[in-house]
Amino acid sequence: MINLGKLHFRDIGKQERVIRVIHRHWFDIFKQFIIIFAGTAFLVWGFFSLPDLISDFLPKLENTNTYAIVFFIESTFALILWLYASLIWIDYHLDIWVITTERIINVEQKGVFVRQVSELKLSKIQDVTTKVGGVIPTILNYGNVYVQTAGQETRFVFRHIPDPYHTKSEIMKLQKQALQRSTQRLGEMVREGSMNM
Amino acid sequence: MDIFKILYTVFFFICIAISVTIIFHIIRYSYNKAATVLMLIVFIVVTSTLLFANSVLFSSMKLEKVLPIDSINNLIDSKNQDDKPWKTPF
Repeated sequence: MINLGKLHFRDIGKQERVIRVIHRHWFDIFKQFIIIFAGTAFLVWGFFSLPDLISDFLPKLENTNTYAIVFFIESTFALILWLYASLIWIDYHLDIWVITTERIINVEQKGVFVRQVSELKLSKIQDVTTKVGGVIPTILNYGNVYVQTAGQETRFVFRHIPDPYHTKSEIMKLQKQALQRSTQRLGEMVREGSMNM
Repeated sequence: MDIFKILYTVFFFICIAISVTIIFHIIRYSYNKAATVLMLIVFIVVTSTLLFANSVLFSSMKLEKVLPIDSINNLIDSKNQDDKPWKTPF
């Protein structure tokens, strides 16, 4: 269960429920991990092949010290790869979109020390647009969802999310329900006001 | 060999700093407790293993056997002797 308090928002309302938590599509992080996989494959190849290559082609250098240097270089490379992979994972894992019954919350980790958190009330939504472009996004069904509010505010963007069409339908449905609830509350307030008079 | 030790120490502390940053982000911003614990365990175990192995391998290397540091030092010393206007008696 998501802990909305950790996202540094004002208190969640009593009637508010989390509908969905969305991450970017797995292919988005896979593209960044290709270089990690290539580096890992090179490391594994080097671990098994370099000692034999040294003994075959550089026999004069074949001693314990040479192997220590080769393994040290490989170990350093592995450490750098691991830290780079961890940074990519952190960037992916901490980018989330939360859809609740009242609002949409966008948490974007834009860099190591740059984090943007914003929210948008469902009742303020004017337009929701979906964009899926390219061969791979079409086949894997991922893309962007743009949520436009009234006025000149910049639009909310769900970036590279899976099944954007379903997300768009969900937002539209929740937005209608939110508008109905706010109309009902307004009606109740007017009735209470007229009864008190 | 001191210069290599200094360079390695700098590299080591940069790795520690990056690791601390990642751990900070996992603890502070992750919203799922189970995922947080799992990520922390995996990251700390793998990173500490890699750092330990790396430092052990560095200490086991004998760079003076590979790099001609002594001959370079001798060359620099002999050049400095030739440049002096007087010659030492010994």
